[in-house]
Amino acid sequence: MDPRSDKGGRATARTVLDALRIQHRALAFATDGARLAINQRFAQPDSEVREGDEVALISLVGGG
Amino acid sequence: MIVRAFIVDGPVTSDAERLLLTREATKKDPRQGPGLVGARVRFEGIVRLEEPRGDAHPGERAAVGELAALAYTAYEPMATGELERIASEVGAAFGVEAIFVLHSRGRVSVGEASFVLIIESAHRGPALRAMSEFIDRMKRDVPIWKMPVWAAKRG
Repeated sequence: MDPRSDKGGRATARTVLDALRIQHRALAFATDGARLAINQRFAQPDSEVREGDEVALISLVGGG
Repeated sequence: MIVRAFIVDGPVTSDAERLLLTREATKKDPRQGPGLVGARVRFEGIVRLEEPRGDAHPGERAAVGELAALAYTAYEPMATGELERIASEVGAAFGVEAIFVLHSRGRVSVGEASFVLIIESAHRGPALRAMSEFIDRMKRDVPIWKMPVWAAKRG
């Protein structure tokens, strides 16, 4: 199965994050504990990623 | 309830804060005029001289380094959007009248302010409690990062 899609063939926040972890192990420092944002909002793991969406990897934040 | 959040370049200065509060005061709903707000609580986050260094090995106590500044980066406009969202949710939960937030982007030197939070409410209790809740959530959910700018070693 393509790690970028789930069983239903959808790309979701979870599958995108999993694909990043599998295909780009050098990014482990950034993907550990990271969340995805889709179109400027934090995504739930099963949120669908559609063509044209802006997807951001949000690593541990530290404002203040 | 009034909610305003701004990312400013460099330190949060008293001029920027005054400008925000003056501008908002002119826009206030007349029903929110004098008499409604009995407490205004203000928090200022200031860059400290010392910061734990991130290069300690597992099991080692992190060494403390001396800073020159912190360099903040923000993922915009999500950062401002998250500040406003958290302020709206916390404000509604605690029943406060207004929340104003200013956060820095870019370099903020030791001793300068990188963050100012002002909460207004009818009584002090809700404002004080909302302040702590807002800061906890901001540190968890707002896409702002800080990088240490270490001071040059002496001698």
